[in-house]
This record gives sequence, structure tokens and C-alpha cells, in this order.
Amino acid sequence: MKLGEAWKLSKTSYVEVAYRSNVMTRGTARGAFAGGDPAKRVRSIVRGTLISKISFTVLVSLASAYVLLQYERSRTPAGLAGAVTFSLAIAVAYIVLYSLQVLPSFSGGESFELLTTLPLSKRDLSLVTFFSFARTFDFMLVASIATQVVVVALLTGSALATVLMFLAAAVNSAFAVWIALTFSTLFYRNITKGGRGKGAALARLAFLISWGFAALSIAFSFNFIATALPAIDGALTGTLSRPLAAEALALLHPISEGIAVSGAAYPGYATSTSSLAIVYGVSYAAFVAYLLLAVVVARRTLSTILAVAQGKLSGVARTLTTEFKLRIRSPVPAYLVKDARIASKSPQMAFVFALPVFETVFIGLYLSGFGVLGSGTIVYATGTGCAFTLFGATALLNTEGTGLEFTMALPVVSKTIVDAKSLISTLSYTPVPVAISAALLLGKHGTSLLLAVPFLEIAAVSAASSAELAFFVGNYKSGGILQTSSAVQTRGLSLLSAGDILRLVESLAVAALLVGGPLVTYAIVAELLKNYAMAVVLMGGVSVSEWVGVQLFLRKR
Amino acid sequence: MIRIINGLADPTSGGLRVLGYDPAESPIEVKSKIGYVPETSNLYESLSPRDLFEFVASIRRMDAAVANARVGKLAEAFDLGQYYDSPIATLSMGTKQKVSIVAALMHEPQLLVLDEPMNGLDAKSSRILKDIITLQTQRPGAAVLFSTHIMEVAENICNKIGIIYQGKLVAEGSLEELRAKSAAGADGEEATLEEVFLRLTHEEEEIAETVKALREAFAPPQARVGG
Repeated sequence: MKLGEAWKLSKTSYVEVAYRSNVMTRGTARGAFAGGDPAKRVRSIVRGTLISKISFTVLVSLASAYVLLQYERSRTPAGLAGAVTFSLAIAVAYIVLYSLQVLPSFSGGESFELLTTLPLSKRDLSLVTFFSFARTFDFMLVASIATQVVVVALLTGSALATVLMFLAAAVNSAFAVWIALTFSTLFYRNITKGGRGKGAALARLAFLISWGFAALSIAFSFNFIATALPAIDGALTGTLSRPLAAEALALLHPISEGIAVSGAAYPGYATSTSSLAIVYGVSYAAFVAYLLLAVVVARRTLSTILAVAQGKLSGVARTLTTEFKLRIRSPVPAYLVKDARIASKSPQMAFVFALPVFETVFIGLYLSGFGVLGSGTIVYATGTGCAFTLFGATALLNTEGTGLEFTMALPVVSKTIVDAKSLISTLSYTPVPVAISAALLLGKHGTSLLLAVPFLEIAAVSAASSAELAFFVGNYKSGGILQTSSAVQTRGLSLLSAGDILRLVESLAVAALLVGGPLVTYAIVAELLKNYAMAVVLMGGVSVSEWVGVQLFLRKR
Repeated sequence: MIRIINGLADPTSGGLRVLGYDPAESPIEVKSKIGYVPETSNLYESLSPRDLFEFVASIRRMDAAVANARVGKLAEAFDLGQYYDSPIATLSMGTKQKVSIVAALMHEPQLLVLDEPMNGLDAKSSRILKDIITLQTQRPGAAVLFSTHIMEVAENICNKIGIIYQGKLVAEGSLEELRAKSAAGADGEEATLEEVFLRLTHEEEEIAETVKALREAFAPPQARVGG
């Protein structure tokens, strides 16, 4: 088969991979709610995938260029090193984030099953599979590398710096693609493994938390890299106080590539002092090591793709069960357990599990920066924890996926669904009061009554989560938001229309008002009257009233 | 029609009552009494059959002992042992169908609504399902609404048949009544339901022409030249 033919054929399997990934990770809830026009649903998902790829391509190119252009401000070797480092980090973050949406079904190989029935040789099949994989990233990688190379060429005018930038971008892309494929393979194994044992469940949870945490960390990479920039600057201006810190930084990807590109643009500066020469020397050595590592990683990526083409990764182990016992629960806990089980296998849901970890770390770090913890700090930390939680609540709607059609045939009322999801959302908030309490108990604080603030907020978080979800889970009796009398109407957010976005904004606004109410009450009474006891009582009153109000509203609907 | 009966869609005109309830007005009551196997199993793919049965039994507020006894027997009957704790995503179409059937049967519904339930089933499971359907129809006050394109199955297990063609009910009654209506088998031989269907829907001539065209298309080249 000619390369062109294989490339053409690979479009079909690429579309199938994208479609299956979408269904696996986010479900086709919207189609199910709409009564399900499969053709429309497929078209919509395929179009959405293309739009997403274009958006990410534009985003990664603009972000890379913008960061590199920051070098213009300083026009120093350290400025260039920092800009290149930041630009590479952004590229890898966006490429991995994008692939989380598109690649999860790739490793299963189901998208290539039809091809195996056609008279294609093993080589042709491998070629088509490889091209299907390549289509996931094609113009995104090309645009990202080209942007970085062109901007560096224009800014530095150095041929060597441009060549090094090209190599650095290529290495970076190889790493990004490898990370994406590894996540995809791990996700597939996680999904197909099954098993009822506690060990298997714990392993899944650990995997999900690490996945979600990684995804969140990537999303917040701007902040992390921003904090690394002064260190890079210090390494290249000789102002780092700790011995060997500059050399250690020069060893790390993508800092080593950043320093190396800067060395190529400023050859005189790189050898101006012996300590700088060492730092630059280390970065060149590390760059060569990363080049070699990129070759190894690329070969590994290729061998995984070939394994997919040959169906080597799609084996499913089965164990014979003779004990069929079921654990029966009340409807709300049953729905909650069902959602938790589904979420524990979905990378899109991973951050719901990672939220508590992230919240604790974030709030712990935030509060550790204060000498004395006052009302304002605690209110701000509590509010930040609430904000994290509110973004997780609507994401839980996506646990329904195509299974919603099945649930709609069961005698389940919409309040059960709202209550279950709201409970998960509220549970994800609970580390916030724990982290704040720990900070208050370990550090200095104004009044012990502050301990009550994050705990009293739990009722408001529950109310806000329920209200937020109620925007999407309609009432089967009066038609609800989706204007249909079908038993349970929920709508996933996988395919956002203008209406969905508006509803999302509305729901978030209402939720923000609900979580903000008690905090604002506390802040006003505490700051204006300096009566902390009254502030706590009033805050508790507002929080509980909101919860009761939302519950009554949900019952009446 | 089946989705309307199950309270999953609203009628554009007219109305219906299921076991005394209007599905649009009282969907929870209707769904409590119905067991539904859809044509395509839209199950929660990342759950295992055990997880799904736990969920369904809990939502239906079933007694644990009753649920365990029924699901255990059904799972054994449909050979679900080795798939019981595997994610549904990894199951074959037939096994998914079995899971769907067990989920629909576990609460001993008054009305069993089956939309192409034999899809993907092996011979043993098909036979078991047919026997279950027969048992269901023998329970007082219970009924089965069975939708299929396989005429032999309908002929063997249904005592009242409705023929829907292009969205319209063209005939309804026992097999004998339909034979009489279509005048099929008038030559003395008992017409099959398939023959009755084709006659009632006036598709016999169209099929004859289609088969003729296919014969020509698949005929060896020489025969085509010679013919």
C-alpha cells in the first residue's frame, strides 16, 4: 500500500478512535437526552473533535509565541532561557491535555477491528494504525514546533539557536506524545481490568488520583513555571545562593533546552565566567541526553502503536465467579456508589477525586505563607475551596453517558440524582475544613471561632451543588429545563452548545451566590461589628437556611 | 411506541395507559411495574454486571434476599459467571444482552417489554428466554410485549400478534386470525407468519423482483452473457 493510500484510509479509523474516546470518557449523554439521533450524535462528536484540535492548535501556538515574545522585554540570556523553557512546558501541557480527550480508546484497538477483516498485510495495517495515531496530533505538533522555531529565529537571528530550538521542540513533542500514549494505555487497562477486590479498587483510585492530579498540575503549570523563572534567572546571573542549584536546574527538562538555546544565542556570555560555562556545559550535556531519550521514547511509542495494530494490548482477563451476592442500598447511596464507580474509571472524572488532594495542598501552601491567620485569610481560603468544588459538581453529570438511557427506564426521581451527585460534590469539599483547621491549630490565629467558618460552609456547599445540578437535571412532571416529560432528564456537558454554556454560567452564578452568602455574612459582621460569635452564628444560620431552601425547592419542583 | 410505553418519550398525539397508568403522567409507577429490554443495550459500560444489578435492585428498592436469589439464578442460567465482575465495556454483544435481560427480569415485572431480545443471544440463552417468556405469560395479571423482526420467534411464542409496517399497525390478532385476514395458505397449506406478513404488507412481489435482480448480479459471467 502506498503511503498516500494509507494516510487516506487512516482517516476512518482516526475518526472512530476520536468517537469512541469521547463515548468512553464523557459519554454521549446529550444524544441520549435528545431522544438519540445516532447519526447526528456521531457528526457532532466528530465536528467537536476537529474544533477542539483546531482550538488547541491555535491556543498552543499563540501561547508559545506569546511566552517567547516576553524575551523582547529583557533581551538577556536569562530572559531567553526562561521564555524557551516556559514555551516548551506550555506546549507539552496543552498537547497532553488535548490527547486526554482523544486518545483513551486508541489502546483498545477496537477502532481498527474492521481493518483487520480487510485484505491488508500486517505492514499496511501497522501503517494505517500509525497514521491514525499521527492524525491525533498532526497539525498541532507541526504548528507548535514551527511557531517556536520561527519566533526564536526572528528574535535571536542566530542559526544555531534556531536549530537547537527545533531540536528542543522536537524532543518536547516526542515526550508529550509518549506521555499521552502512556496515559491512554493505562486508562484502557484501568477500564478493562475490572475485578471486585479491594486491591483492584484501591489501585484504580490511586491511578485516578495521580492522573487527575497530573492533569490539574498541568493546567496550573503556568503558575508552577512562573515560580521557576526567577530560579532560571538566578542560575544564569550567578545569584543563586545554594551551591550546585544552577547546575541542577540545568539538568532538568525543559530548563536544560532553554539554557542551551540561550547559550547558542549568546555564545560570549555562556563562556564569560567559569561558573556560567559549567552551567551551560551541563545544559548542553543534558540536552544531548534528552535527545537520546527522545529517540528511545519515540521507539517505545512506535512499538506501542504496532502492538495496538496487532491487537496485543486488547486482551481481557476473566475470572469465574460463583458467588453472585449483591449489596442492596437505598436509592441515593446506590446512585452515589454507581457514580463513584463510573467516575473512578474515567480520566475526565479523575479530577473529582484529585480535587480533595489538590485543595488540601493548595490551601495548605496558601495558609503557610501567613504569620497570623485572620478572618479575611480564612474566608478567602474557604471560598477558594468552594470554587474548586463548584467546578466539579456539573462534571459529575458526565458519569451518565449512554447509560442514562438505561437509568431513564428505571423508577428513579430526579431528586435522587441531584442528591447523590451533590453528596459527592460536598464530600470533595471536606478536606478544605480539615486543611484550614490544621493550619489554624498549627499556626497563630486571631480567634478560635475561625475554626467554625469552613465547617459551617458545608451546608452552603451542599446547597450550591444541588442548585447547580438542578439546572441540568429537570423535573419529569412539569417538563423541567429540557421541556420534556421523560422520567429523568439530565444533560452532559460533553458537547457544549450556546444554550449549554448559558445554563452553565447561570448555574455557576447561582452556586457562587449560595457559597458566597454565608462567607460574606461572616465577613461583614466580623469586620464591621468585631463580634465574631455573632458572625459565626449568623453565618451558620445563612448556610443552613440556604440548604433547607434548596431542598424545599427541589421537593416542590 | 415502545419508548412511549416505557415513559421514555411523549406521544405526539393521542395517549395510552399501561397497567392503568398514563406513562407521561405517572412514569415512576409505570416503570416500577415494567421490565424493559431495549433493542440496543445502553448500559453503563464501565460498571460490571454485578455493579449494575446492585444499582438496579437498589433503585427498585428490592429486598436483598429476594434480589440475591433471583439474580443468582438468572446469572447462572445465562452463564454470566465469568463475566460477572468484568466491565460491561469488555463484554460481547450477546453477553451485554443477557445482562440487560437479567436487569429487566430481577424484580419480576408485571409487564415485560422486550425489543428484539434475541439479538446476539446463543441458542441456549434464546431457549431459556423463550421459556421465561412463556412462564411470564402464565402468571396471573402478567404480560409480555415482544417486538421482533424474526417471524419464526413471534410465531412460536406469541399468542397475539400485531404487524406494524412503515409505522402503522396493519393487522392484529392471533396467528389464525391473521392467516384468515391475509388469505395466505388458502391453497390448503398452513401459511407461516412470514408469508402472512409479506402478504399483508404487499411485499411479496417486491421480494421476488429483488431476488431476481440479485440472482443476475451474482450469476457467473458466462451465464450472464449466455442468458
